[in-house]
Amino acid sequence: MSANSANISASSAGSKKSLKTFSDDIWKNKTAKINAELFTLTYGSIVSQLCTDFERDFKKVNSHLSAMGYNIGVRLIEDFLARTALPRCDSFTQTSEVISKCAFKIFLNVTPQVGNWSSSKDTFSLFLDENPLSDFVELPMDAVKELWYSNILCGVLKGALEMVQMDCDVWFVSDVLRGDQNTEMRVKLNRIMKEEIPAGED
Amino acid sequence: MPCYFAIIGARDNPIYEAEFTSQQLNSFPPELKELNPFILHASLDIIEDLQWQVNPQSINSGSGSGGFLRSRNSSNNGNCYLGKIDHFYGLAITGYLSYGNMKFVMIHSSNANGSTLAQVEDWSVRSFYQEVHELFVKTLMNPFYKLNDPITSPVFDSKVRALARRYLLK
Repeated sequence: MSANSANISASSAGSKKSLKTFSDDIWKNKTAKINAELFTLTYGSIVSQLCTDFERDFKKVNSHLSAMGYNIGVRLIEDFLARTALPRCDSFTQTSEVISKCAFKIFLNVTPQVGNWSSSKDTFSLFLDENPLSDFVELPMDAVKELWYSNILCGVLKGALEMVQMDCDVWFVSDVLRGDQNTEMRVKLNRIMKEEIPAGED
Repeated sequence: MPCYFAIIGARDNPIYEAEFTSQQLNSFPPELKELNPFILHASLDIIEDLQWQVNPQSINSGSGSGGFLRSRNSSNNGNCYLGKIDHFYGLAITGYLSYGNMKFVMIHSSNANGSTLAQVEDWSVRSFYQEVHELFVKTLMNPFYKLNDPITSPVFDSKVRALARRYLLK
């Protein structure tokens, strides 16, 4: 829990440029890579299998994908912090930068655009120009209106942010697979959780 | 010239069909149009014969010995194109065989109704087949597409038609 707050002075990833070169470096040197098509097809077969298993009830598929992502996220954040040793973010704006320029870069080698901030600065959007999960995919007719194909990403973000004391809601607003102009994810900060001492410890 | 194109699956089941016509050129006469699938299926036997031949005669590109999948020397998919394999009352039939045993077959009709044998321009027909093959591989990569199911995607359809306009209807 306190891994991220322990090294506040360790990294100087404040400005945009250094954050970018910093994550480029991690992507190049510290990340094990797999074949993109293998990755895409693996995820694709998971989603299509879920659609079969839930008898094409796409709402259930969405929530299941999100739950799978959540389980990934709560672990992945540990790996993320171990690799980057980034300090605690000062503001939610900074969090958004780290998510887009660092987290997405390291794990998926894409950099979504951050934008569409709400006036209270607690909600922002990530625009995915390219989505490595959805190469080759064309949604079947019955799924176009309901299935959020890459919904696993929402779960990952939610799980990861929760582990660094940010209770967030993450959801998809639009997806090019559904025929929309762009792929947009929305991240909303509900509250910052207090670091609570677990019950039974003094 | 109007063309009728179809993809036949590994179990001889139809996967996709399309008819390419354009306004300035004649289309198939209505009474013959319905025969197209039959004519096309009749040529499947010939494809299967060619498939296992050591030296398919119709491969006249001089790429050396060996038939389909047997040319170790060439790494391209040039030998998938079987060329003109059959003819039927002035219609020419060409074929292309993918590595997964998908048969791409096409009927070419001549401009004048059945009086002269349709001419096949090997170069452009081959390019058409190769690009359709590429599109087909991409369709296979879609996790929602099951092998040997009919292709219903409108995107695939429009892309194939665009290729036909570029290579066949000139």
